[in-house]
Amino acid sequence: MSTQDGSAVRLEAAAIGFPTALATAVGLIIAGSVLLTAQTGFGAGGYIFAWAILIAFILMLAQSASFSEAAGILPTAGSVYDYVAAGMGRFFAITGSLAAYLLVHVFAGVAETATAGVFASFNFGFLEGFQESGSWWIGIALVVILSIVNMVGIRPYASTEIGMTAFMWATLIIFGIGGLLAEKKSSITGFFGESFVGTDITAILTMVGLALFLFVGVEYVTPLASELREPSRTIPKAMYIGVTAVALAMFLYGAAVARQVENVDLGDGTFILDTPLAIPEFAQAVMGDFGQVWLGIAVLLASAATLNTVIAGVSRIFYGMAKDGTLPKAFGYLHPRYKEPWIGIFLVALIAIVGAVILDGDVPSIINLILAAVMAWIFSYVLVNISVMILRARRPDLDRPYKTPLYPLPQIVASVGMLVAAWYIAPPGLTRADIYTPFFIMLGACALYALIWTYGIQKTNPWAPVDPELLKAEEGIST
Amino acid sequence: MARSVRPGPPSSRLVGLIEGDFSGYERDSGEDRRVRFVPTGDGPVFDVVSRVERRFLGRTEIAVFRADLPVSFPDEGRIEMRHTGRLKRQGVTAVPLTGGESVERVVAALATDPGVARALQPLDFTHFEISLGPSGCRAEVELMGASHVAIALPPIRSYVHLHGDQREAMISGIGEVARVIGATV
Repeated sequence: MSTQDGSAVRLEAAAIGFPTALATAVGLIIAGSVLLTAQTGFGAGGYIFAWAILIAFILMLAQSASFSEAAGILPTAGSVYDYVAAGMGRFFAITGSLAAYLLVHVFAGVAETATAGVFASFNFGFLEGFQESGSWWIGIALVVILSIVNMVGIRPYASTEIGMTAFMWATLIIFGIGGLLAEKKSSITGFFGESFVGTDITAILTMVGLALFLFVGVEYVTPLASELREPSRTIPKAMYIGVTAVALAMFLYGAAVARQVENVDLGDGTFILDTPLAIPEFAQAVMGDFGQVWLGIAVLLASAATLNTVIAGVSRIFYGMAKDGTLPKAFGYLHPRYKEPWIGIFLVALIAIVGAVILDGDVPSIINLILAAVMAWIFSYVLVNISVMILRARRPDLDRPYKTPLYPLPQIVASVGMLVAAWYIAPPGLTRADIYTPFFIMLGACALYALIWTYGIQKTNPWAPVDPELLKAEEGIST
Repeated sequence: MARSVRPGPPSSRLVGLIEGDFSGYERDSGEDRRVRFVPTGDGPVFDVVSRVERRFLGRTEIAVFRADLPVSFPDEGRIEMRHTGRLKRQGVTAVPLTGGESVERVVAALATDPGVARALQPLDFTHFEISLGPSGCRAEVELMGASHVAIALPPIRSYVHLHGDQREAMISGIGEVARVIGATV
């Protein structure tokens, strides 16, 4: 590495481009739980779920317009927090972003660790003894290996994200097309199969809540705004293409699974498409043993890569918090040789391990909490829509590199659609109260925190909108 | 240790965040668009580039501080500074990466100099490299601080501050290294 040549640098070259933005927007579809959701949806709803995906797709396109306009005004890493703070003040910003994002943290690492084990036990024949119970050790083994890798400072080379996302997306498309072209093995009628949850409007709306989960997270591209080349063009493009790519992959994968796997009752009222068991059976039907290994490795790699990022990133954040005095000094410890924050790595791994052991692969047992987190997500989406409209009225002078087409129709369509989806969010077997109770408890706790933080610590008016210029200046972005 | 990406120009956001932490320094907005921090008093001038560790659904942008040392050396060579100790930091040593006998002399001097050890002992550097040459010498330092972590799932963004003690240790460490090289020429 030359050390003499880097003084005259060009700032443009630091920016990241469209491939990374698209990979970030599409990246979340690789989560194992998303595959399971698609299967469950098509298994229960058949062609009704396909309509639900189409409605969710339109809602997400409208929502993407709001995010794109907000990211153009505020190209900050603060993302949702900054948009809502500018439109509605710090109280709603803290409550919305905490409820939607922080609470998801609590489940994400644990669920990913547990899911990795469950999926591996179904995808790899030699691990099938752990399907009923004990699959947690697979997730734990993964976490331990990744922790050691991080402790000795091994880093993957660049482009992991683009490569992994492309690999997973291509895998879903290839298996989807393969499953549609191969001879049909199930007894479904029509392209997506018939509905077992009814065919009226209520049935479709119940399925929209589930379908929305397939797209949630596409907005993660917005915090990259300050680093992107031409963010006002790249962000809308990445979000629109990302939402379309996700919809395409889910249509193909769902239809192919329904066509290749007979949705039999496993005996206790659980159907095979509601379980990870359908994945190896589908892979077998499309490409035999090779297909089973391929899909199994793809899902495991995705979980491993996600966990690796969390371990490496969060342990560094813990280091920073220790230096700031908000965590014990021990988290600021660096190993003299490997230069890695070992205590932080250990704690992140411990949380994932303990959570996975407690769950013991029973991810469905926290489904109401996951849906409550989805409710929180929807809540923050609506806040962003309202903020975009408030800013249009109050600050028409702001530079808007991207303006929502057909304003305010997308904001209204997205908000109303999201609220309707939230009303019908309870799937068969759960009541609204099962989901709303934890949601409102979470929301109340976040609101209380927001009030204490703004009144007690920041000593600011939580209801006053924050100047967009100030929010940009806080992140070092010139106005 | 695999080092993921060669340092390149930093994002404007990281530069802005570092600027807030770099008291005693001012951003030099030169026409050549380099990112340079110059001291308001005594101290080395820093050119800042960044290295990005890109992972699946996450990335960390780490500032790399480069300072020209006020000395030159007759031969070309590269030296890496490291901490010693199995679990607890015990001291500082120097390791030659390239270069001949003359560079080995500098390595020996850096590894045994108490001033260098005192300055670098508290510094949380992850990489500290010195380039020697007739046209000038340069130090390149990567720290835990002055880095920005962004993860998509779970969604977290956080800037790890460059705290005052770390900034002072880096400045004083670079000064001590320059002193030792100058004395060895």
